[in-house]
Amino acid sequence: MKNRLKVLRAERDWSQADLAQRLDVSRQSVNAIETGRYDPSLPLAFRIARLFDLPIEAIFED
Amino acid sequence: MTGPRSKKFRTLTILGIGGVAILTGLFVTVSKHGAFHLTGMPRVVAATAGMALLGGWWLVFAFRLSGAMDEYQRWAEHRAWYVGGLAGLIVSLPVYAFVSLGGLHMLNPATDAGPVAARAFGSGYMLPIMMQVLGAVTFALWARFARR
Repeated sequence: MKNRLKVLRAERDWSQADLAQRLDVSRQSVNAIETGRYDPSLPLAFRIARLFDLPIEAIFED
Repeated sequence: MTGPRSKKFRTLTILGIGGVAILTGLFVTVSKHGAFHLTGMPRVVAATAGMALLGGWWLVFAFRLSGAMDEYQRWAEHRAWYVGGLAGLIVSLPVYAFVSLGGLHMLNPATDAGPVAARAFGSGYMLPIMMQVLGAVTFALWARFARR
């Protein structure tokens, strides 16, 4: 599954560690999601969407 | 790193160090040259009890560690255990057949452990596998029938 996490993070000038802290996950998790190695669960996807104030489908796509 | 996640990791570190202390204490206690000079049955009982204690500690540590992981780390660990564990088991099968059928004797005729040692090797090989299968089946049944 593709996602715009890296772009959205860069727009806010956040490091992976910054984003990880905001989402209460590890930096490895952010990296795995950004590189497409791991698809987040629905609860985590909702947390990401809320953090960026965007609908889920604006961040993740098939 | 601050916050609840770091607190969990600090707790885990303490648990881990405690486990190492138990393991060290176990070997000091049961060593022939150790502080208590245990031999015979007392040594066997002390070693068995020590290992049971360490096992309990390990179980607590494993649960706490799993609880401190986020969903990706848990997913990655499960996959590593499943794929890595299965690969290790598969690699061990030909080694098991080779050793239990006297392969070491074939390589070095001076090595002749005899049939009793071969049976002991077989039992030693099977024990953790059987316990692992039993544990996996028990957990699968619990997950299947546990009330939500």
